[in-house]
Amino acid sequence: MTKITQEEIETALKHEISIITGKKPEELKTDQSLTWNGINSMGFVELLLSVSRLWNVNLLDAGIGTADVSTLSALAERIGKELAR
Amino acid sequence: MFSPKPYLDGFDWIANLLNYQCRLTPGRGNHFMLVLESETPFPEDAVRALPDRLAPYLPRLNGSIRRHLLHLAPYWLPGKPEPIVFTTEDLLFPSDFPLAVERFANRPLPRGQALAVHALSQPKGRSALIFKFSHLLFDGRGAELLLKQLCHGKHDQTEDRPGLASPMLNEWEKQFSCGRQIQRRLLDIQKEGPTVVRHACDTAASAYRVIALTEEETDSLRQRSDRDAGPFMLTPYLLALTAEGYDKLMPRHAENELFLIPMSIDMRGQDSIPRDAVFFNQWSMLPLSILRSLLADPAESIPEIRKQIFIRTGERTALAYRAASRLMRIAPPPLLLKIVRKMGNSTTGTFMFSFISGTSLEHDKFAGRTITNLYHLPAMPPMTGLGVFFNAFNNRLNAVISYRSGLFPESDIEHFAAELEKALKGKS
Repeated sequence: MTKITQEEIETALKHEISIITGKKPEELKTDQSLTWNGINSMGFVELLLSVSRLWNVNLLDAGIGTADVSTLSALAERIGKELAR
Repeated sequence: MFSPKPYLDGFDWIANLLNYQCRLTPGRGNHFMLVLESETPFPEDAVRALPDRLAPYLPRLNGSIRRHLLHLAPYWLPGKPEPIVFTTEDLLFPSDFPLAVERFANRPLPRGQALAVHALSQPKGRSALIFKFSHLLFDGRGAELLLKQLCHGKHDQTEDRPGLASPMLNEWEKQFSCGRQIQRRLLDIQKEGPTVVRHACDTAASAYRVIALTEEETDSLRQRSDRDAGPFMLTPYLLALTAEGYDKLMPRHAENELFLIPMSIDMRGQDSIPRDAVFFNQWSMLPLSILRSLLADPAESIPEIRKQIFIRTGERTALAYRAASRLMRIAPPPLLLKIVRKMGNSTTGTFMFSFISGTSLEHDKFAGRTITNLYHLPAMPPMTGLGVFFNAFNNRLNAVISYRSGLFPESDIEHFAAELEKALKGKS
């Protein structure tokens, strides 16, 4: 199976956040927080459901913390780690 | 482009039903208020200019509900551009403030109008501009967006996208399928156990308690929420704290009793609803049912609430409610109210809940003053009778307990508000 890269995860996350927030993917920044990228409480629920659908990863059960959502990039990294398990 | 007839959606019809349910209350309808607070009185000339700014909206604000002659779908008919009623009140003492707000809440809107404005002034201390909206034409987020337009002097009504462009009478299969989904869910809830409800008298007045946290208190609350519920999980955390407090208020009659909480959520950006839709009811519900036996311990209630939010969001329950509710538009409100009463407690819920995590008016000046706080005061219909509503403004959290007088002894409400405040401030 081909290993998915951090960049691919970030691109997919940007696409999903774009659908949830209505922002254009090019307006989203990987080094900024999810809040900065327009995600709120219910938007985060939608995002976690997308992560579960795309990669079969349940981040809430995996015990994500604030550090994992500090930036979009950190979230992608955490998803990558879960996929590597 | 848009139809000249702005058709009402299912949730506008639910608002119409709730408006009918509130007809005997002192306020004579289903209203809500937006309170904009300032440290100093709003300048009189800026306040006096507000009615002029509202001029382009007047036909719509003076409108009423009509039915299409052929297919009977309800729509909003603009009316004569009568000016909005604007009143002012000078307060002598700071302690008069909450009473003055309640007095305005219990005053009916002028006949046929969907908005009234009241200015409260104190020479030294908190002053406020209070906007009272009819739920027939606005929901909370839409009301904020209207004020944003007033604030920025934007009156381009072609961008307001009022109502449905078509009556949506051609998707029966989807609507019935969603109706079955909702009905199955309500039946499941009935099987789980008896729902705790308390209804107020049909003539009861609106009353409120407002808990305003400071920025530091809000920051501390968010940290506790991140720790106990997970990042971005403030909604389940706040609901768990609220339900725990309400559990202590209500006597228990059976082991398997549950709280049914119709959590309202903003649907802008989904279901083809524009993100900047100002008019009509663009919200829906996520009904959450929680066994009372879980409520005493947040370690049990938070994961349960979180799980249900995920399941219901994944099942697209809120979208199903919106589609299914379109079927109700054919029934007049008196008939609908009879049906709701006959269907029982699972259709009304224990208390209403919502959390608006952002605002359209952040860091804005309004009528020449910096807004120090903004909160929503929805009037609860007699059936359900109580709601707890949270909103964030400039990194501060507000909690509003809205209830009908006589639902509980005032000492019980005082106790509930005090316990909730302690829990929000991490002092319990």
